[in-house]
Formats: sequence, C-alpha cells, structure tokens
Amino acid sequence: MKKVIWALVLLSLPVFSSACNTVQSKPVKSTDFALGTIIEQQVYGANAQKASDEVWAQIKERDALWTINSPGGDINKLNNNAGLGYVELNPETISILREARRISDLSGGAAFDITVAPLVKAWGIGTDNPRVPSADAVQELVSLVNYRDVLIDEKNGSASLLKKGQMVDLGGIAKGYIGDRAIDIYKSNGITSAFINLGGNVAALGSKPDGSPWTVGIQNPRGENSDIVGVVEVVDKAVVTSGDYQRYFIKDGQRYCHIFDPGTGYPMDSGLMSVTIIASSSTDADGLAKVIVLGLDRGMEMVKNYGRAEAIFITNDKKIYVTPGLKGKFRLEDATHEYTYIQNG
Amino acid sequence: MNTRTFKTGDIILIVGIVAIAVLFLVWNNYRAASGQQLKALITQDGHLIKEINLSDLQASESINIDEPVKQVILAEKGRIRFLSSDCPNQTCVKTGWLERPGAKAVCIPSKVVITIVGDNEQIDTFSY
Repeated sequence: MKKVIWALVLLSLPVFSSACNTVQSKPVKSTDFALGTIIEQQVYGANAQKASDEVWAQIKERDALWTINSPGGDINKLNNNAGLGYVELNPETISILREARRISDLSGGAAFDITVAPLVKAWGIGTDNPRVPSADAVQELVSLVNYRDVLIDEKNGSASLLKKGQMVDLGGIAKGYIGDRAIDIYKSNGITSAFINLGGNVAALGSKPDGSPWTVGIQNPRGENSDIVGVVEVVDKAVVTSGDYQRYFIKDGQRYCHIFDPGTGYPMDSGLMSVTIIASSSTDADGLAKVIVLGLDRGMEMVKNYGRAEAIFITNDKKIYVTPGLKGKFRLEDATHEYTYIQNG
Repeated sequence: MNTRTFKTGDIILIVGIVAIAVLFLVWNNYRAASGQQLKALITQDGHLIKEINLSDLQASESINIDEPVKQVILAEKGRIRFLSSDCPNQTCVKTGWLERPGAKAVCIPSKVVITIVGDNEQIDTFSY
C-alpha cells in the first residue's frame, strides 16, 4: 500500500516543481534612453540587478563621452581640433576608434567609415530639416571622408583628424561596441543568461535559463513596428540589423535613408532594404551590417570573407537571402506572405 | 489489486494527493491561458505609469501625458497608440496602432514607452 502512495507522491512531484520553476527564473528587466535610442536589458541570475546597474552606469558615461551633441565630450574635442593636431582622449575612446578602424578596414571604407559625419550633417536626415545638398557640395564633402585620416597615438592616448572639416561620428559602431562591453559586465558578475537590446542591436549572453535559444524577431523593413519577417534563434550571439527604414525622408518621389555610401556621399541605394548580421562580436556585427551599402553580391562576399558571421539580406523586391549557417536557426514568419525565402550559397 | 486492501485513510491520502496535483495543473494552465491576454504597459523614464488590460477593455480610454510634452495615448479593445504628441519628430504617433505582444511605441523626447506584453511571448526581443 505504501508503495502506491509513494508512487503517487513521486509522480506528482514534476507537477509541483514545474510550478516552482516559473517563479524562480524571473529576470531583471529594465529600459532606459541613451545613445539617442531606447535600450533594454533582461538579465537572469543572482547578481542580475547589480550587473544591470553597472551596465546602465557605463552606458551613461560612454554616451556623454561619445555623442556628437555633447560639447565637453571626447568626440567633440576630436572634431573641433580637426587639422590642428592631437588631443588626449579617454582610453575607452581610443579603444573604440581602434575598433572602428579595424571594421572600416574590412571593406576598405567602402561600407563603413566613421568619418561620414560631414555628409550626415549636410543632409540632415533624422533632423527636423532634411535636405538634398547640391552635387558640388556633396563632392566636396566626400573628399573629407577617409577613416585612415583618424590618427591614433597609442602611446600617448591621443588621436587626431588629419584635415580641417573632418568629423567622426561613432553612431555606426557605439551601440555594437557597448553591447560587447555589456556582455563583459554580465560575465564578470557571474551571469550566464542575459541580453541587451540597444535600439535594435541585440547582444545575447548564453541561452535562456531553461537552455533554449533566445528568439530574435527580424523587422519587416516595410511593415509597422514589431511586424516581423522571421525569427532567428541564437545562443551567445549578437544580432544587428541595418535598414533603410529607420530614418529617411522623401523628396520629389525619391526616398533618402540615413545610411550613407561613403564613396558617393549619397544615401545608400543598393537594392537592399535591410541586412541582419549574426556574430559573436556585437561590434563586428554592427560594422558588418553596413555592407547593406554594397548590395547583395558584394555584401554577401564580404560576410563570407569575414568568415565568422551569418547574415539575412532582404532585397527591395522582398526576397530574403539567408547564409547556409542559419539553416534550422532562421524561420520565415511573415504574416504578409510577401517575402520569399532563398537559401544563399 | 482488490480495493479491500485499501484502508479508509489510504483512500483519503490518495484522493488528497491526486486532488492537489490536479489543482496545481489547473492553476498553472489557468495562469498560462490568462497570460495570452493583451496588456499594455506605459512607462515614462523607466517608471510604470499605467498598466491597461487591452483584452478586457470595454470602452476606449485616453491617457494624457502633460510633462515634458503634451501627449495623448488612446487605448481600445485589443490595441493602443500615441494619438497625438507635441514632440518634434512625431515618431511615436507615426508608429500607429500596437496590437501584438512585443510591439512597442517610443517617444524619445518624453521618454514614454508603450509596450504590449503577454505571458506567452514567443519572441524574446526584436532586431531592427
């Protein structure tokens, strides 16, 4: 008789424990605004609160240092001193400038160049007053764009811009870079399960507490907010998307987006609406996503040459090209049924 | 097995265990099912200022934000949006209606965020 009762108790144990599990694994979720965007963290584990707080503190500090709008910040100091010699900068600023150079080198500046700022300013995309500058003005400003003119003096912790009028904007790399630093902070706090989403740039640590991968929805580039075309499952990866839909304006029927082709000085028009990169480094994923400027073929080639990233390219004619490594990890979830999935390579 | 081998106390114990297990199962399922309801969270500067159960909403409801810019948020059964805002870019208003879990409308000048949540969210986060 006792056996029957024991058997029943044992059989009912999973029922009770499943109820307990759902209570235990509550994450620390937080949202704030910085770097001109919305940032969210979701962190699991004993030190979750402490780790998130440390990440927020670091983000605020870097934001002040790197925003192009902050008068006392490092990037303003560097820009204001363009053509006039070296300025001493925070070691973190030197570090991100070094990273920017490494990423720019991947495409030789064709896809990503942190010195496009004079163009961004002239076009005013994302401001209240966007405009199409004259062809001559664009031509003149393109001659100022060259990431190799950002000179770094590692020994003295200083940097300079070679020519007067040159300007650095870290907007294309800061979110990716900070994503990596956030993961470092999680790890140093013993966290094994967390993600941070910096304005759509996702950096995920580990898997979910139950061991299943994180699911990241990929924005439908012509849909409304949170309309997705598909879902990618990741463990220990960053997922970064560059799209032509975030900031743009339309003039005389022409759509001008906020991503510039550093070679032409015009907003990119490459036949791609969005590029999503999945890689271990969020800095690299952020930089690589700029291959959107290069178009499908050259862009895919660059991802292949980099060798440690997977990608989802969405063309203007609504075809979704996915690299072979994402097989089984990406699934089409397109409520509009307008997109076609194509396995690339 | 003959039922006569059970004593009254045993039967009470067995029925008790089964009843508790069934109650737990029902409770868990109920929680999961009610989680499918749509809920909107409105936060400002990271603080929750309003929580609305959109699924149960009978009449439409307006939420006014006065500082730092004047804004009106409109909630209806199953959906919510920024109806108007005095901010410069109008990004929040242009976002339109939010209807699905995970959908989000953000106003950076006022630091107001509307998020739709449901306990059964299948997507953890969005890349855009």
